[in-house]
Amino acid sequence: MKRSIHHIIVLLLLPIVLAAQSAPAVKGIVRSAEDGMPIAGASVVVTRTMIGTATDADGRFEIRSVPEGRRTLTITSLGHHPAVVPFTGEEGEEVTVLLQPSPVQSQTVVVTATRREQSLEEVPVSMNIIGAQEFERRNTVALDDALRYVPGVSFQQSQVNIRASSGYSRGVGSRVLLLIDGVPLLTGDTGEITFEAIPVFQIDRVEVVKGAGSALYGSGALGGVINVLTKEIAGRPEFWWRMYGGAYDEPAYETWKWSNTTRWLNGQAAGYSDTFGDVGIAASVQRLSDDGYREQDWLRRYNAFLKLRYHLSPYQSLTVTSNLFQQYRGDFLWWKDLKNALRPAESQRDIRVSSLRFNTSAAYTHLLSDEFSYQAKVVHFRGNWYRDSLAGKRLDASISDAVVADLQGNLSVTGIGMMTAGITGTFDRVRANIFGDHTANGGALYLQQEYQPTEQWSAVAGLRYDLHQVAGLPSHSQVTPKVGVRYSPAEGHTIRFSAGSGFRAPSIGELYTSTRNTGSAAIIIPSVGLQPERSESYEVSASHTLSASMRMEAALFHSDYDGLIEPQVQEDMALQAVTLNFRNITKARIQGFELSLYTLWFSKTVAANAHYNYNWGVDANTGAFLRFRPRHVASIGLQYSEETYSAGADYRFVSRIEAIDETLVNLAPVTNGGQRVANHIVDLRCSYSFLDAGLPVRATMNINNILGYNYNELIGNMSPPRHIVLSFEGLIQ
Amino acid sequence: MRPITLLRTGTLLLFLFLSSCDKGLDPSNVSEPGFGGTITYAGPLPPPDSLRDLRIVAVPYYPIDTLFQPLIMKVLDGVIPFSADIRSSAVPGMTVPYTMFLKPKTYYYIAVVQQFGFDPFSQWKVVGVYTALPSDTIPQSLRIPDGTFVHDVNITVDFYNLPPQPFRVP
Repeated sequence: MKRSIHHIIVLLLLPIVLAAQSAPAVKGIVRSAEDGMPIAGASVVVTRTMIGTATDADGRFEIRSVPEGRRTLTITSLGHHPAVVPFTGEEGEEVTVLLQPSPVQSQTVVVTATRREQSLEEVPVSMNIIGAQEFERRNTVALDDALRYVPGVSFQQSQVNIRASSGYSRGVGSRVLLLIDGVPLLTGDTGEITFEAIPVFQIDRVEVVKGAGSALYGSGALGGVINVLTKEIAGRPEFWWRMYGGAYDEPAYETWKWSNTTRWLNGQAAGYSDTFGDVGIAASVQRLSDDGYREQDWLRRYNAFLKLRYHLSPYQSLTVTSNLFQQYRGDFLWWKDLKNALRPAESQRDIRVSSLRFNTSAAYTHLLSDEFSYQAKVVHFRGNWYRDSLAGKRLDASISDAVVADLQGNLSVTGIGMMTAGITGTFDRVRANIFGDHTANGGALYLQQEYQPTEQWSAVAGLRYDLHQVAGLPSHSQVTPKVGVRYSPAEGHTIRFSAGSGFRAPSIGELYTSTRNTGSAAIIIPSVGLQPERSESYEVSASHTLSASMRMEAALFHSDYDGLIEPQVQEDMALQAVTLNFRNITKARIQGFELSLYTLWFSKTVAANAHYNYNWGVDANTGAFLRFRPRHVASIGLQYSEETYSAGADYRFVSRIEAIDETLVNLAPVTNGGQRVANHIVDLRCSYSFLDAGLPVRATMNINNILGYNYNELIGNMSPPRHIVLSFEGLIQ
Repeated sequence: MRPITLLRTGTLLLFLFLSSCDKGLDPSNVSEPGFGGTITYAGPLPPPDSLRDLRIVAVPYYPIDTLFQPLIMKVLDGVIPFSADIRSSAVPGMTVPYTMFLKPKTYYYIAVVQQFGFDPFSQWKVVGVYTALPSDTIPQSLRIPDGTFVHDVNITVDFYNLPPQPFRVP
């Protein structure tokens, strides 16, 4: 079976195989220096080249084309110190690499904070990482589900808040920037994040940078940056599959029952990855079907992912990535009322939403010398969605294109440090009945200088200039600086200070939305006078490794926001109707702190962590607490893992949202929209590997919201009740 | 303590702790939004041929100096909510309770209106208004918060001593 699959795929890829060249090879195994166990998923790269691979489930790797003159390997893995090891290149040589475990991710290599690789301990800002293992443990099928466990991150349904930066704007405009492999991926029309379009089974890790990040990434990075990094292409044939299915529990109250049948969900995914000489390929498909726990909240989702990498030389690579996403779902904006919390409001009945999103990116990287490299990237993101009634009447529709091109150079100068500079161009085009037909252009120049006089000290300063224009409107320019200082008096102990600016140009959706048909009685009117909103962020943070199995992190932060774009709902006497538009009205201040504790117990078989985030966000003019921001966010996680069996539990708490948009509730209207509670969610999971029985299969069971707590993250939207999911996954290598 | 024992104990403690919390949102905690109170009929009733309909209306803005015709159109469009016919409860000298359920918002003018002629599109007059003081004739606004029923919205109706009429004669 295993061989047959390989043969079929090899036959399909025969032209590529024939094109591949033979070259000297190196192979070996990566193990933990602590217990000798093999480490899967470690990155193994021939030092200062583009040639590399990832270790398989047995910790083994093989690199088939080693360039002349290069005889060292650089190995990195989440939760371990990086290692550089020599090899001879002689035939039959097998390299054994022992990686020293690092105390809870501190030495993990990250790329988002400064647009280049460095260890987590070296970066001058607060960051968190979600590894692929966490996605597997929780059976995560959408990126936002995993982000809910990141310290300082909360959600208003699908809208992400990093340290209370975002509030809620009904999906139009995001104050957090989403990147895929370092390239922005916000929709061209509404400037929002579509988490469901991310192929989660292809994620290697997610890096979350907190605080303003526009000095490197431009518009949108007002409250933080989320960078999704896709998996390395395997060096040897690798086929994986996953199947899962589950069901939602009955509603807690009789009055909420709307269906006599069990509501099911199920999904399937499969992927293949291999390298043929200089060409690497990773491809996957996935499908999700969800009946929905709410009436008319069903969905059918399909993803196809393809990643191709071609090593033009040991120092040049071209990577092309494509992702296709198609989804059909019922429209559920808010409930009918709390007595009918699982039924949609009458105005949304019998409406469905169809979307087709497609993004393709190409990245060319060239290591010109040991000191200088550059990378050129271009991404095209097309979004096509429409709402129509079951009778076939088209309501809203939009087709958008967003193109981003970026050229970045990195220069390492002995005695000075690393210099990063780049130029970026953006182009957006929208054709929609609710936004109109519009185009927008942008360009930016950025420069960053890092300086490391000693091992203990490092500093970074950066500056970016952005120019942005929506056709027919005046252009806007922004200058966003940043500085950061890191001091590490000893290994495992770091103190950081950072300050930076952020901005977000209004999306075409905010500028031009005009509709009488939004699922509510409100008329949305265009807001062409909108200006970019800005932020200034300051942070002092410290991380201390108390022992080999205990690490503590603390951060104090302060952000000032100016001209925040907020939806304004009001009753227009002249129109005799409720109107909604966007305005730069809020001057806000958000302060707070974050505490995290990571521990390992019982020979590291038990991992326990706890996080707490306090946010104090007020309108600087009125002193009122900011709308749609939680004051307290906390979580506790416990995980027990051994070779064949693992189990874990998570508890998540989000305090009751103190202020909401009462006008929206009353005039939209969202009946009982003021009803909200603190969130208490407990998830349990356990898994078992059948590898000892000769089957490369792992079974996992997740029981989410096991307490059956009835809560809502967003007004008028009940969150999922208790539900159980059983999944099976396998890896054939 | 073995790891699995610790895990079980921790999970059990967490479960017990959270079991003691409430269950979150509860549909029985909300009232249907609306208002209610009493209507006091002071003085005699008009003859039946000039009391063809009697209803409570709640206008979400001040209808002062408004043409009558657009106002009646808003009633027909559902912008201005109105009660069922309450003639059967109208007894001279009696105070009778009433309730009205509507969307949560602020209503600036709550009144009892009488259809006095054949034409349901034009022959109406205001016979009682919700005011701050019983002796007053200045309309009192009323905010109906979401999920709240507001009590004590009392109105006095006197068919022969009318409050100021809000309608402007075209």
